[in-house]
This record gives sequence, C-alpha cells and structure tokens, in this order.
Amino acid sequence: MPKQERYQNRIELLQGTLDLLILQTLQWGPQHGYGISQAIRANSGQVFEVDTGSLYPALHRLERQGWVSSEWSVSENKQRVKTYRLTATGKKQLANEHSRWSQLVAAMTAALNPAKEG
Amino acid sequence: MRFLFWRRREKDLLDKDLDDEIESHLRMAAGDREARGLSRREAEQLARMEFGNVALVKETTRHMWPWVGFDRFLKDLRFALRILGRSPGFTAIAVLSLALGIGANTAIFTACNVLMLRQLPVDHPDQLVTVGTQDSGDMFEQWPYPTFEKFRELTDVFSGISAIANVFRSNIDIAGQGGGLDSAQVNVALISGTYFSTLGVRPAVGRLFTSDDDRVPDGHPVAVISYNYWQRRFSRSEDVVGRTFTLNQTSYRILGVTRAGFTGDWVEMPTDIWIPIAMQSEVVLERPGLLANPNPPWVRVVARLKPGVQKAQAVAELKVAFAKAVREWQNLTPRMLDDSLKRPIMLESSAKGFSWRRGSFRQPLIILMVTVGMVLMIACVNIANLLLARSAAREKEMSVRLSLGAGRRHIFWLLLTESLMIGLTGGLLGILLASWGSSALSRFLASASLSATDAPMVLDLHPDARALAFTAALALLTGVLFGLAPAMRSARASLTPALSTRGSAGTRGAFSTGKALVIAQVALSLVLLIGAGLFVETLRNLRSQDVGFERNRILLFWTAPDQQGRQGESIARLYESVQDRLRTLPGVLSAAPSAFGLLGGSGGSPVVNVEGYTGKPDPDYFTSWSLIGPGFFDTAGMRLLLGRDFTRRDSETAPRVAIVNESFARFYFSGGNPVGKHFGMRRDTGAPIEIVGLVKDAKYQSLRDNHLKMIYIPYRQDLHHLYSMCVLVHPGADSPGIRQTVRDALRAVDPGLPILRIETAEEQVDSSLFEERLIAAISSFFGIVAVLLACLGLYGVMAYQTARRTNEIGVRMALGATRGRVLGMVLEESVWLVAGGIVCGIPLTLAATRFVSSKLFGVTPADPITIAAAAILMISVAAVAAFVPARRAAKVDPMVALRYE
Repeated sequence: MPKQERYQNRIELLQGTLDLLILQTLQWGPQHGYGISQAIRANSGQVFEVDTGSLYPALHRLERQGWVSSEWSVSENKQRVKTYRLTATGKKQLANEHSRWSQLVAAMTAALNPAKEG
Repeated sequence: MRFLFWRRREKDLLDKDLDDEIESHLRMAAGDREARGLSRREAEQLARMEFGNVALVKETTRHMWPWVGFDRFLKDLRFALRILGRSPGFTAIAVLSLALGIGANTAIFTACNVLMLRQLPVDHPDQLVTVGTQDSGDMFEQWPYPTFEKFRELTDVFSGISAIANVFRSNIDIAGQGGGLDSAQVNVALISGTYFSTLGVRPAVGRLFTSDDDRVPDGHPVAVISYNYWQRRFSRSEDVVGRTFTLNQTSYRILGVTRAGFTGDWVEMPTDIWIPIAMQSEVVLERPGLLANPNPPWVRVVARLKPGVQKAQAVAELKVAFAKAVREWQNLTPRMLDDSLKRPIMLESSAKGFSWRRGSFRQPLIILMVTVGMVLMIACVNIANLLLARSAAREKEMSVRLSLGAGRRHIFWLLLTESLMIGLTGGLLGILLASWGSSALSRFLASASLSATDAPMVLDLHPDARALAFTAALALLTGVLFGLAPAMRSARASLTPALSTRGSAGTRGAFSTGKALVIAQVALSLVLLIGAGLFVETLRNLRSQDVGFERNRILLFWTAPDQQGRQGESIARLYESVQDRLRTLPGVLSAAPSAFGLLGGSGGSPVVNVEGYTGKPDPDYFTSWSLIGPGFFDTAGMRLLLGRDFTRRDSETAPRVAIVNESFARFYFSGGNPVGKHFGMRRDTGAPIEIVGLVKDAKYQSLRDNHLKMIYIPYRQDLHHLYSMCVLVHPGADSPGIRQTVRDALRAVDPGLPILRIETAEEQVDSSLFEERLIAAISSFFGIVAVLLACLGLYGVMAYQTARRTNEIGVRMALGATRGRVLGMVLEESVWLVAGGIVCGIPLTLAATRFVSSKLFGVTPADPITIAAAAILMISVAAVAAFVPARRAAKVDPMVALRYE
C-alpha cells in the first residue's frame, strides 16, 4: 500500500500503542484530532507519524468504549472543531496502560541486555 | 420500521459529523502550513496529501460505529434478494424443494416431539416418577388400590403421590343449556384428591380437587373438566362451575376447569373429566368395589420425589411398602407369594407422561424421520448442485468484484447470505407445509384406536416452540450446508483467468463435484424409492389376503352394556333381544353378536385334556377364544366346514359345546374330523366341552396373524366372561340409512345402551392397517419427490455442462459428428451418472432395509423385483430429464457455436 512507503523513514507505531499515546495526549486537556496528531509527533521528537487512517478510527473506538468523550467547540481562530476529552474511566485506563507499558519496557530492556542483570 | 428509520437518521447525522471533523482537520493542517509561508493552494494540497485517502479514512472510521455490521448485512440482504429475484426459476425450485423437505421434517419431528420428547405442562415435570414393576420381562405400571394406599404412606420420600385410572364412558348426560347425551366416548380419569397438587396443575375457572374431595367411598359426586372439554361442551361459559352431568344415575357437580394445555398425564388420550377415585364403584359399574379389592391391578401411580431424595432411597421404601401389601393379597400359593415378593420395583421418570403408544410408535416414527431426513438431504444436495453451477457461471462477476476491491471474506458472506435467504424462506414456507402435514397426520392418527372399543388417539400436533426451533435450526443449517461449498469456491476465485477468457479449463473442479452430487442424489433417491416399493408391496400383500370373513358389506356396532352395570345373564338377555329385533328389520339379512367383533382380538386360555391328543403341549400355550351368538358365521361370511352352528338351545343348562377352526383341528387332530371330540380349558372347572363344528381359519387379531388356533363358545355358556359385545349386521343389497335404522333399533331395546363405534368390516381392516398405510403413503410420496429432485439435479448439471461445451460440440459437429451422435453422447453421460448412483444406492438400500424387515410382509428386504423396478423407474425418469439438454446440444448450429467465445 502506498501510504506505508511514505513513512518508510519513520518508526511504525506498535500495535496498541496509539491508544496509549492518544490518552496520554488528552491528559493535558481537551484536544481535536489534528492537534492530537501534531502533539504526538512533536512529543516523540518527530519520530512517530500518526496515520490519519489509524487516528480517526482509534478516536471513534475510544469514544465507543467510553474512555474519551467528544464535543463540538469553537477554536482560537473561530473555527468549529470536534474536541476530545478524557473521561474518568479513560483516566483509569491510561494509568493501567501506562504501568503495563512500563512493565513491557522494563521486561524488554532486561531481555535485550541479560548481562547487566547477572 | 421506525427503529430502522431512526437508525438511518442517526447514521446521516454521524456521517455529517465525520465529514465536518475531517474538513476541520484539513483546514487546520493547511492553516499551519500557510502560517509557515506557503501559498494557500500549496498548503491545502500538502495538507490533503499528508492526510491520505479521505474516503478510506472515513470508511475505516465508520467501521468503529457499532451497527455498521448490521448495515452491511442489510445491504447484502437487499443484494441477495435482487440476485435471487433475477433467476426466479432457480429460486422457486430451491425454495420449494427446501420447503417440502423442511416441512416434512417439522411435521414428523412434531409427532416425535409430542410422543417421545415433550414434557408434561406441569410444575417441574422432571421430579415426577411413576412406580412400575417387572414380571417375566414385561413392564407393569398398574397396581391394586390397597397397594397404592401403602405407597401413599411414604411421605418422607414423596412430596405428593396420586393414583390414576382412565375409563371411557359413553353415557355422560350434561344437564342444562347446550347439554344432552355425549355421543362421543369421554375419557374419564379417576384420581386421588392429591392428583392436581402432586402434578402442580392450576385451575382456569373454579377450583380443583383437594384430599378432602376423596375421603368417603361413593361420597364425592364432583368433577373437574379439562379446558378442551369446557370449550367443546360448554362453549367456555363462565357459569360452568356448579353445573351438573349425569353418569350412571349419579349426578356430578362441576367444581372447576383445568388450565389450557393440560390434558392429563396420558399423552395420546386427552382426559376430558376428572372424578375422585372414591367414586370408582359408581363410575365403573362393570367392576365395582375395586377400591377395597387387594388383588386386581388397575391404578397407575404418579408421585413427586422430594427435592434431594435419591431414587434408590425411594425404591427401598417402596419395596418395604410393597411387601406389606403383598401379604394382604388373597388366594396366593406360597410359591406365588414368593415370586411376588421377588419382583423388582422400578421408579421411572414420568416427566413425559404416560403412553401406551410410545414404544410401538418408536420404530415407525424413526422410519419416517429417516425418510424425510433423506428427502431434506437430497433437497440440500440439489440446491448445492444448482448453486455450484451458478457460481461457476458467476465467476466473471466475482472476479470483477474482487478486482474492484471487495474482500474475499465479504464475497463469501455475500454468497452465504444468498443461501441463508433461500434457507429461511424455505423454512417459513416449510412451517406452513408442516402445519398442513401435521393436521393431516392428526386426522390419520385419529382413525387409529388402541382397540375397536377404545376412543381414537388425539395428539395435538401443532408445532410448538421446540418444533419451531428445530425448523429454524434446520433452515439455517441447510442454508449453510448447501451454501458453504459454492460460497467458498467463489471466494477462492482467481482474478485473471476468469477475466480474460471464459476458460472452461478452470471449471473442471465444479464438474466433478457436481457429478458426485448427482450420484449421491440418485443413490439416496433409490433408497427411498425401494423403501417405498417394499412398504407399498407389504400393504398390498396384507390387504389382498384372505381374511376369512366377508369384508365388503358387514357393519359392526360396538356396544358396551357392561358400562351400565349389566352383568352375565342381563347382558345375555339384552343381546338376545337385540338379535331378535334386528332380524325383523327390513334391509337386514342377518345379525349376530360377537365378543370381539371382527379383527377385534380374542381371549386367551390354555387348552387341556384334548380327547385323543397325545403330542407335546401347544408351544403357544394360550389358545384364542371368542364368545359368539347363533348365526355369527353366516352373518360374517365365515364358512362352516363341518358340523353345525350354535343355536338358542345351546344354553347354560345344555351340554357345553364349541366350534373350532382349521388350525385347531390341524394341531390337535392332524387335520382329521374334530366333531364329537372333547377338550377342557384351564380357566374353568366345568364339564368337558364337545366340539360340534369346524370353521375356516380367519384373521382375529391383525392381518399379520399366522394361523391362530381358535375356539368359539356360545355366549350363553360362558356368562362369567360375557361383557360387551359387537353386533354384526349383514345388510341387504340396497339398504340406505341402515346405520341409523340399526342404531334406532338398538336404542329401542335399551335407550341407554352405550354405542361406542359403528363401522364397516372394511373400515376395521383399514384401521388395523393404520401403521402400514401411514408408512406406505408417506414413503411413496417422498420417494417420488426424491426421484423428481434427483432428476432436477441431473437436468441442472447436464444443462449447464452442455451450455459450457457449446463450443466443443460445435467443433465436433463441424468435424462431422451427426446430431444423433451428439444427442447420444449427452444421454450416455447422463446414464452413466445415474448408473453410478444406482450402483452406490443398492448396497446402501440393502443396509437400510434390513432394519425394517420386521415391518414387511410377503416381501423380503432385498426383493429383487422391487429393486429392479425402482432402478428402471429411476433410469427412465432420468433419461427424460437428460433428454432436454441433450436435444438442445444436438440443435447447436456449428457456425454460431464456433463464434460463441
């Protein structure tokens, strides 16, 4: 598929990490889809490129699961935009995913550098 | 509808929402770039490029909405309907054959369900048990009442226990509006006061019995009626409580009506009226005083196990109670006492209710179930075959769909939706056919009785929830079954070859599958056809036998004076008056009573001390006997070979006489003249009986009788065994209204005489053949349906194949093949297919018919004539089916054919 070729020099997001990144981004306050994609890219030092074909399905799925809620609001430059905010269950989910991610990282690190453990 | 509309509106709103969201994304992205110094046009272009395929993003996002799956299903459904509508011939054949298969299965399953699977509509039916015992291999479920009274004391294992005895009464006279004598036989259940509470039955109107309604013998003239009886005789009028009816001079007050659906615990004989068992002597005048009699078994016992009580514990307690009861039995020799005490006590589940017929109907119902199951299989194979042919024809369409981006999985689901639509439509239509079939089956069953003097069976064969679930499952299953292979085939379709040419090379697979399916169809059809042939032959053989009596004109009037309380001498006098009166009627040539009518069974008693006989004792042990009046043989058209008929002079005081049949004479006198010889019967202690006549053999119990030995006794000389009799009437050649005339004459002798049934001897023969007729009718109907379906399958495959081979045929003809040769080529191929089916079908048939050999008569399970006839029929019908495509092939114009591709 052509879209994959465009992002060849960037790291593809790991399966399931997009949700965590979205929730993490929304922790700082309500944000619209475009803003979320920009924030993820900026926060990852331009490494993660968020594919809109994954972002929007993910947002709609998270909303269906009740982790984020959405509303239409007016942006700084007087434009109607759909903003997403973290719900209470979303916050809990974020904490869960966060600790799971830390575990994963720790485990991966340990597994890749076995010598240091000994 | 409204729901769907709402869905649509909400979906529109959401779509708009998504559009706006993406548009704002693009606007912001463009805005950022413009702020970094790009021109507006460049910024917008870049933003769009980075965003990617807008339509695709929308589509994948929409998939996150919960009902999209449903939406797509609706779309597939509409599409499937459109496709099916485009080929109405295929759709009609598929739906109709499936409807026939599903309908037949539902109808037969309903009968199986009612007789073998359905639980009683009472509280927790699985806790109900019935107490039985076994004696020399036979199961007995009836007990003397005093024994039941011992069982009743076991309150620590049973939370409820009740005795039940059903009797048929035909002299119930309802008082008041719409009342009158009930001419039908009414099923009266004598029950303990605890019956309804044990079963957990509630009233629709009024109240049901309690133990207080069953305390004093002959002291509770009250009744509860069933919902059906309430509807039939009281038009469901609310004032039924307190109304009365008369039975044997006792007036019973109706206390209440049971709820709809409950018809007692006897499955095939719905109870109409319940009367406290304390009234036994009043209701069953012919056998009074049974409540206090410790010997004769006559009540069934139904009990409810207390929760937590194991069957073994209950059986142990029942054994103790039974031992107590046995010691009260009278006239037992020490040996009999010992044997009785050793009898096992069994506790059987009574969840499904009591049935005489469950055992005897099992095999016929299984035969029918297998038959209709095979029909359904043939129908499925047939549709699978047609679908396969179609899927091959639709290869191009599928390739286009695939190349336009449809997922293989989606194509698979699309095609499966089509099959499921056929399955479900077939199922719906099948329910209609089933309810029609069920009511036909009900009517058929109603013509069958346990015996001539019993009421007809009544089975409520309306498909219930379980039967409907069965149908729905069948419809879905068949839809998947015949749709799966074609759907998988189409989903596997490759992109290129189908698009570039119509390559016939790529369809070889479909051909061999299609041919295999035709062979399977032919094989299954052959099994059904041969089965049908065997059953029809059986029925014909049974019918065309010499039954030993005249069956065309004789009328049988089954009467029951014992129900009125008449006994011995009084019954004898009644039948003498009846005979005298009938003989004088215009239109009656002769008339005579007989205890068992014609084909109504016989008594049985061991014969002893046969004069001059020194051989081994009779291996049959019981010899049949019947009580008859003078003139019986003449009336029934049974030929007296030697000696004389009985006369009025053969009375109680005259020397004892008997007439025997040929089989009796053959066994005891080696075919010699039996007249003048004497014999005795174990059941009496009187003087030896002299044989005064020899009569031709006849059928007594059923048409399958195999030369039963028979003894006829004048009824005057055996008043102990004289109960009800059947009056035979031989009417003159032209005597219209003879039934009514005779009925009036019987009523003139005794206005209260219960007349149970009036029928011709031929009707009696037919009703004794009820099971054979049912199996023959259903199996031959479906045998023909199966053959037609198989031929349809053959036609489909051959027609499709010749259409695909148009080009090849054109080449052959261009190279000099004659039309006759082409015709022969196609026909030959068809015949090979059918022959293959027959070769596979014959061993299958032989394996199947072995199981029904006990149902056959005068024909072996491997009857070569039947098999040959079925095979020839199959081949000739198939040849006709194959001729149409063959002729079409032969008509191919080579020039057109060569330009075809």
